[in-house]
Amino acid sequence: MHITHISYFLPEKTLTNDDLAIEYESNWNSKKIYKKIGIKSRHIATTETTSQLAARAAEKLFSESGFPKDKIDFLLLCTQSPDYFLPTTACIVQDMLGLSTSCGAFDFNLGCSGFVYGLAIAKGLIAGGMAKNVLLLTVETYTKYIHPKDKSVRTIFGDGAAATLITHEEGDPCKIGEFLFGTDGKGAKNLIVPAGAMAMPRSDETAEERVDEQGNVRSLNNLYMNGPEIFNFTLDIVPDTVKSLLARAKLSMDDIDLFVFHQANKFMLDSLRDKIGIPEEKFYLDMEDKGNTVSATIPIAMKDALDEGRISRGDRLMLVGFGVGYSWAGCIVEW
Amino acid sequence: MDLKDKLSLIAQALDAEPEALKPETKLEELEEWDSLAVVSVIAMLDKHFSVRLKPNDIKSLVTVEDILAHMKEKEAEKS
Repeated sequence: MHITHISYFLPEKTLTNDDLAIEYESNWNSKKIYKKIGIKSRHIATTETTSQLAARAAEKLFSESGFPKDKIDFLLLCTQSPDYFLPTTACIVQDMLGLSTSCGAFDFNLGCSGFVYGLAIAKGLIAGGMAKNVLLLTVETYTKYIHPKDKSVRTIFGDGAAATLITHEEGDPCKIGEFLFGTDGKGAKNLIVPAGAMAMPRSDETAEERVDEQGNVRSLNNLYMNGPEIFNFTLDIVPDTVKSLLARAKLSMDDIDLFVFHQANKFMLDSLRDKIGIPEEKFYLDMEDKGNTVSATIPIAMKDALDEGRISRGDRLMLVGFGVGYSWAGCIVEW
Repeated sequence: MDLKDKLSLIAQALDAEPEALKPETKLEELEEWDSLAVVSVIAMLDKHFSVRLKPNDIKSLVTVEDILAHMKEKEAEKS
């Protein structure tokens, strides 16, 4: 069992720091932002829906890998910006791709930890004899939740979709896992779209715009992120996750060829790398021209690292996702 | 670590000139004091003083002195 191929697709429209500097005028310094968060430009879904981005990434995977579509027997789709409350986006994508109707398909709702969870579900399905070839789609259009005058999140998030193929032939060694998971729902309020679902349906009241202390504008219908709290959370759990995962896998830091973390922003990742003590050359950064694409960042980074020759067959990677929920997960993958 | 070193660490975190910072300087009056600066101060205190700011600590940061207070606490503990 191993990851056979990764492809990704980003919407065409981009939003650069210079675009934002023009919009926000004196309140925003393009160079300072880049230096701090390491993002120059993000891709923004306009008319494209989550299912469309997911299908484009999957089509790219089939054409790049040559893997026959009809062999996919399970489709997993991770998103927090689905096409509809119901039906399930994975069902829509099954039809768009023309996958077999004997294929299992479901969505799961996670953010930055979603890719690692997806690998765990795929491993479980394969190990349990329920599937052989799993297509994992991690796709997000967070920017649709973002108020145009909320610099705090508009600067960071971008849209995108990644398709990852996990396959197994009889007798194959398992190259996915150990895993480690964590959850702390106390952090739910710190990264949230408060209104729109059943706890707080959208209304005139929820659409009321408010200005926060930093001058950012948003309503309850929009994405809200408490940056300092999220930062504290990551300093608390990511170093321990790395340590515990290494212990569980009976590995040391030196045994890992490349660390691929959720690409939240450069400042956060630099702080974490420094705290954990990971050498710079073993730590992959990949957000400059994409921003934070939530559950798609890790497979996108893996694909870019592969294309740059930073990952070779046989390399051992540590993947760690952390964020909204709070939810976090780490795993060791042999490429 | 003397006052000058601490002010220089704060200046570095805020991306400000060290000369512009005095203990009585009000953070809100600094152009550099934004959400990114808050996160940088959290990181600086965590790295150099093993001090973690809680939500209420962050809200009660009014002057540079308030940041300095967190930098002293840990040093006292160490000695």
